Amino acid sequence: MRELGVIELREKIKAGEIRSVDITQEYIQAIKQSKTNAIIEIFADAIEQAQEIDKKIQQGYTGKLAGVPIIIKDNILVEGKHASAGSLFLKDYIAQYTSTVAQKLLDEGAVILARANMDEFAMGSGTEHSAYFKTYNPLDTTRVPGGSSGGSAAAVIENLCAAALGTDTGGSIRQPSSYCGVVGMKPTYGRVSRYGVVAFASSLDQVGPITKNVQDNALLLEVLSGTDIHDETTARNQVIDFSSRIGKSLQGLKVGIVQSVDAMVQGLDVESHYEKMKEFLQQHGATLVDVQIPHLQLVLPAYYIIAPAEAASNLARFDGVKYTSRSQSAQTLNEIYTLSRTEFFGDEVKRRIMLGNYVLSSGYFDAYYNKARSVQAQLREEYIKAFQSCDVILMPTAKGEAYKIGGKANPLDAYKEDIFTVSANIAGLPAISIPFGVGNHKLPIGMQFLAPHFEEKTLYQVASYVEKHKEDIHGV
Amino acid sequence: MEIKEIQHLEELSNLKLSSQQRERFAQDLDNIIQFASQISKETHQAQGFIQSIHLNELREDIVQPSLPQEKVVINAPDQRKGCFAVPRIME
Repeated sequence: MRELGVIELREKIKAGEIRSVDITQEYIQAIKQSKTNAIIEIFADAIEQAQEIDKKIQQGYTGKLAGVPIIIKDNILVEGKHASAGSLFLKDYIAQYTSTVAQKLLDEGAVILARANMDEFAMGSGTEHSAYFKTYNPLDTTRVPGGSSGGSAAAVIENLCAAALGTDTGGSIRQPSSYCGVVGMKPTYGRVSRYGVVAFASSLDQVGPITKNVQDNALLLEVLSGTDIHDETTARNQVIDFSSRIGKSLQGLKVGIVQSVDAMVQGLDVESHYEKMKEFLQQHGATLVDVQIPHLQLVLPAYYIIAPAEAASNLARFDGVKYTSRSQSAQTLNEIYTLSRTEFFGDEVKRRIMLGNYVLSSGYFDAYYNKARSVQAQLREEYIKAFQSCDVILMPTAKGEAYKIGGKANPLDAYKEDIFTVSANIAGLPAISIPFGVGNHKLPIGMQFLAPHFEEKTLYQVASYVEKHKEDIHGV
Repeated sequence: MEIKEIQHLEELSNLKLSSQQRERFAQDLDNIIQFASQISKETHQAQGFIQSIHLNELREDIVQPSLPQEKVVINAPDQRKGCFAVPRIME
């Protein structure tokens, strides 16, 4: 039963074939036996949650997620439960309120089973920067599961849950989904509330679902989406119809191919899959359209200016006064600030805070931060223009299969891995990663589609079609 | 990046690196900043761009209950009478 997706499991629970408490128990056993370190903590009340839902189901309750166990990333708050964002700074932090996304899961009858490992404050591409332990890719434990939502993606492919939530600031849902062979969606900025989610870069962060199949993903996003009085950046009057085009063909669909992406892909491991996807789309009735996104060339520098700048500001709140951890060696107030931050932040977080303060400091602000904001504005306009001639844009998710643990020791090398994912965050666009065959090491390769703002339904249309028909293609 | 510059960034960031760390960070940050400097190729002027297209729709200013004070301070390493407690700052 553990391998079932959200909808299948819900239907079995609804039909009385299995109780929520039984499947919850199975997942808990599997987590305890797992050697991949995907999970930081199984919530003590998981069984109790399941029992309560079982009781409600017997009385005729039909939530969209009734009885389905879901794992959340460690930066999502649930009142009364630990949430540490993978950091020692929040090791003992207990949430005093529930995030909107977790509340929405609970409102639809989900069991919030456990919290998944992540790179500290979501800064990393391999879940190697968690303050607690590294997570191993369940498909090859010498490799990373991707990051920063590596625990979430690993838990889904290892069948430790029916689905998981991640967060995506520069690819942190899509890249681990690619490396683990699951479906990951970064929604349009403003689609999903960020209330109660530990902030990394507030203008880029979005919560999204990581699932075993496309239909589950659409259902979960339907649950998560909507205006939130607690998050002023959530969009008003949202149309939430993510499943409305699932099952439709690709006939007449226009798929944008970015010429500079074509050039970047050359020689990468992902190249043959990217080319096969193009063939597949054409064979199934889609038309390929050349589009230009000139500012894609500058998107990575822009991302590594904007994201650290926002992070440096967001992480200023961790000062040894308000949140759980304070350095024992501090005597004065200034020492509390400095020594606590020095002791409880990991190196990657320190690097990004310092980088953020560098680009924000006087004398550099115009040269870096303002330029990056300008790139952001141009990029967004270029995408909007490109989408006048196509419905979606195709790109790989990552350069290839999951890399070896310790394989990206140089921070800049690790940053360059994000080349295909960051532009969706910088432009605020929705983007989905779906599994599309395996590479040379028999590990999953993901393909990514981007759509215009709030056009997630087209992504789900394309993704579900590819999911259903990809067996037709040799080698995928 | 010179050590003096790194020390300045440490100050801005409220961090204190060991001398060994400082050397490593100087090199890492140098590489990253050099990479980020490609941004100088951008010739357009920033126009006060705002990410969310809905950001200007402010909600009504309605008084609502906030987190009770005891919950606000409950995670603090030191708290007294519902306040965050820190060492004396004036002699």
